[in-house]
Amino acid sequence: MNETPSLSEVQKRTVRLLSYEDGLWDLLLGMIFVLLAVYPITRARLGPAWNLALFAGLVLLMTGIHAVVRRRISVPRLGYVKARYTPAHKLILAITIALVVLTAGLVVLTLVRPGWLAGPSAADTPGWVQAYQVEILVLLALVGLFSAMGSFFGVPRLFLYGWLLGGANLVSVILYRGTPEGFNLPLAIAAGVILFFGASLLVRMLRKYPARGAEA
Amino acid sequence: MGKDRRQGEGVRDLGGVDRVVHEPARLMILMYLYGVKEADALFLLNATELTWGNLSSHVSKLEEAGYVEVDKGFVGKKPRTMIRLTSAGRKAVDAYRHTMQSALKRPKAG
Repeated sequence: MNETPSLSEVQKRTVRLLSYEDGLWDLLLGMIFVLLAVYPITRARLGPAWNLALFAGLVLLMTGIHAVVRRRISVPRLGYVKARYTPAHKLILAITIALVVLTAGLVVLTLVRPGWLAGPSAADTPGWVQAYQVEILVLLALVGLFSAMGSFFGVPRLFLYGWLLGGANLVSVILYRGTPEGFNLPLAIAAGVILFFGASLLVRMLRKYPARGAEA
Repeated sequence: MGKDRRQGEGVRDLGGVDRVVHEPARLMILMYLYGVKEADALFLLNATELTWGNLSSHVSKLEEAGYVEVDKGFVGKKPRTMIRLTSAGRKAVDAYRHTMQSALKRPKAG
């Protein structure tokens, strides 16, 4: 109550409380990147098309589980809010979805690596940029997306996530390029850090906000 | 001179500020409801860190003033009280914000 009232701060706190306080979003993100870490192994066994289908199916399944767990565990503890979408909110939502789709597309592109990707490049472009142009794009997209979300919602750990995931992707390509496809350790480590954050936040939420059977 | 008069008017407006909105706990409740379509009492309890008793009493006062609507229902067997800001409540928050902003406007240095 000692803070100066600010509507934008209150709205940020609402989003933080409902979306980032329980760690479930972090757990979902971490699990998606665990899947990406084992993606090369399953692709070698299943082939690109089936592997992509498996990946998409598992992401959908995890998203469903995430929604159910949120409804069963978080809502009885943190409360329920119906969002109010103004035109500005809808625009932000559309931009966020577009950025997420773009980033996911770039990440999948890095993993699938089609032949046309290594197209002609300018002669004055430094060698390392030519060699890792897609990974640098992924890094920039992830850092930009997560930083924007972190800044917009006031969640500092999202800045770390952007660098962690983008950096892990770049490091893994530097380490494994030209080697047989296998487990992607840097991506798994990054996913592990995010999962640790998520699990810690979930435990904290369960302790801090007990489930309430009835309203007083 | 004109600017001084306008600033003086801003301060004088404080006398007519809406006391229902001005109370800190109620202002907090209104601010949380301002950005959402509706919220349940549990969310407001966690967000404002008030006690159930305080929250209930302030929500009742806001309801009496016509600033919020309260729907008591059930989700399964558990009770859920949904609270939403009315258009009168939204206007009251806007008017309060306008009054406070004009009264507390920082004077230019020099």
